[in-house]
Amino acid sequence: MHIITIGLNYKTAPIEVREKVAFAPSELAEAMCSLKNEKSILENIIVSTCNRTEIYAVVDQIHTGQYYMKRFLLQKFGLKDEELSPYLIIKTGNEAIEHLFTVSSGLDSMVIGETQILGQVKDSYLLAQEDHVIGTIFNQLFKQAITFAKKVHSETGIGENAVSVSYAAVELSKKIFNNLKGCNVLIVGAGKMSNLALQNLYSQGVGKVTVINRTTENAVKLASQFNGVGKGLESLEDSLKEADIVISSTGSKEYVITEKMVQRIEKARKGKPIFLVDIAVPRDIEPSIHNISSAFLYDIDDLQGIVAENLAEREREAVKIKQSITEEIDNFQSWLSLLGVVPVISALREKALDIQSDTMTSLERKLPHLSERDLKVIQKHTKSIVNQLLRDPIMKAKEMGSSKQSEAQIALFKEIFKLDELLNESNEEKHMQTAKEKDTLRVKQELGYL
Amino acid sequence: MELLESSFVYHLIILLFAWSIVFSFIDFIDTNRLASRVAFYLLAIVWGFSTVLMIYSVSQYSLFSFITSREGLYVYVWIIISLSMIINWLVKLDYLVFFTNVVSFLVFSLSILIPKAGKTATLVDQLKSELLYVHIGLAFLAYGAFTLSFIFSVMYIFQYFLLKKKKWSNHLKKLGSLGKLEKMVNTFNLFGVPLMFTSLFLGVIWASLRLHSFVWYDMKVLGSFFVLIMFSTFIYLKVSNRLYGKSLCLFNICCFLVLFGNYVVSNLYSSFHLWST
Repeated sequence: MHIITIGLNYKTAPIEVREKVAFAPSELAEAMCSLKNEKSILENIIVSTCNRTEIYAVVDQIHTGQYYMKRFLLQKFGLKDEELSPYLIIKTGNEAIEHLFTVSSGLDSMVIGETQILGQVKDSYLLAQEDHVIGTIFNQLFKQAITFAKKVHSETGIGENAVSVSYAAVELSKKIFNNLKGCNVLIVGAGKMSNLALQNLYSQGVGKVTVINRTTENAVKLASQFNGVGKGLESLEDSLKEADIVISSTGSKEYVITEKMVQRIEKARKGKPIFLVDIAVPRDIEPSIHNISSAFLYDIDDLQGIVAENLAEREREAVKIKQSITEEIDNFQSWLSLLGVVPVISALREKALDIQSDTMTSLERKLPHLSERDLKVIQKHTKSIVNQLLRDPIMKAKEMGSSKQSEAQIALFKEIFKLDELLNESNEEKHMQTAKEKDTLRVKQELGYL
Repeated sequence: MELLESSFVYHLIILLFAWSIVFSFIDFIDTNRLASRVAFYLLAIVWGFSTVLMIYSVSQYSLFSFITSREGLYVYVWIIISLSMIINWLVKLDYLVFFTNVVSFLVFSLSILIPKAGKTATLVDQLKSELLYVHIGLAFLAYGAFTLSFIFSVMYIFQYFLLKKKKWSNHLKKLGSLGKLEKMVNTFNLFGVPLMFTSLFLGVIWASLRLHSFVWYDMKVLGSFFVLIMFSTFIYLKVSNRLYGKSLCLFNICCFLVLFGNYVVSNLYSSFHLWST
């Protein structure tokens, strides 16, 4: 049994390739079901977003599984091998597991620490669970990866801080005002940048919006999109008296808002804080305004500095998180090794209980005078002997499962108790059942039931 | 309380309190959410133990177990912690636990330095009055409210400084908005002033009824009224929109320092609170 991931993402493939190899949400369930019918594939989950399409699978043979997964992608999207292969990433074993943890935590995303990918991984997992295309291994692995990602986001806050200039301005205003809902916003300039800034603030539910522009017509036009008021430049000083947040982005070569202007309105404002954002180059707002006690002035460089600092912070957090992924992989591997011991333990128990049952039948035959009650007592006690005898070997088998030489030790364990025959029988039964299920599925598909 | 001070629980409280400060300091320096949570839980345990100790003490002795300067400080610390935990629960405010912890621990340590006051049976008899209970209780609450308002003012000034210096640090990200901090400062002072006024009013009535020689010009009496005037001025400046933001918070810090000074000075030079000497 092996874990493989195969796919492409924004790091390995350009948008032209990514858009060809993408599953629509409505196609995912069907795709996972048909992939399950491919040879060697035991469990699978497909994660498909605008930045990545990745298949995670449990296969019984690495190369066969890899071949069929790749063939599935080629057939599904009608591509030739040379069109897809250069962009594919293939990871196996611990690398594949690590990749899943990295992706779910948002560490492999374009914007490090974003949480959208976690939701997408979770959706794929739930869909796979619903359609029975995953079993014990992926149930455990994906559950662990999702829990880990949630923990990482809540404990480190990696995705909390703004990574764009306009959001940095919103974040800053939230550090000055208690509630943006009551804040009056004044936009100076009616260009593209003003529109963008206003969109971000408006989505936060700000109060009154005023747009000031040299050409009043343009101011009115922009303001009307946000239920605001548009005015000419002559109203600037009056509008400043009421404003809490001012965003300026004009093409003026001189300062539009001067220190003297702000000092003049100080009395009317009664010391109320005012947050001024200057996103124009050359600047619109006189820098010395920041020295006024109640004014907080940030220009484009300050905002870009904040974004850079936030990104650096995310990188730092990512390094810490990557260290804890190793621990998660170890945990999963020990769970996985225990999983290998489970059939051995079951076989041992089955064998012991068979012996106990045979003994009881023999006793019943040789001592026919025993009452039902006597038989029950003997049955109880013989079972107790079996359980007590098995307790230590079972515990030892579990320990063997998580040790480094688990395979050799478990093989020895099986030999001591002669369990191979029993294990082979149960494996054959399972294979028969799986083959039957696959046949039924194929027949159903041929008949058009699915 | 003497019995309790020698108890294992009392020492455990101090130990947990110290650890809570250590963890909140780690969070303050390195923004560690786990440390922040541990600090809060430890503080909650400290609060739980202190509450149990207080209830035990009241049931064993009387309400007068707490009216000396030394033991009164325990109640004062308990009130600050209770209020900060309630606020932290209602309005999530990072660093509040840290600042509260520091102030509370300082006061707690201060209480150890104050010598134990003896309470004779005659004194206890003389003090037994419901009016006095209410006077002391309200004074404790007012002091608690003023302390929290002071803590929020310090947080405001800290945040203001970071915003002015354009220091986009974890501290800036975690400290609340200036608007929120100012609101908390005002709210606690709005609670504190009427509480203190009522407390002083009842204290004067009690003193006139029970004490044979009530001295108006005693340092404690004058100081307390001065503190009340200071905080009332704060309310006036706020309501009349004469002061805003940073200036208002600086004024509030001055008010608290006067309150603290009054407490220290009156304990040194006044014998008005006859039980505290």
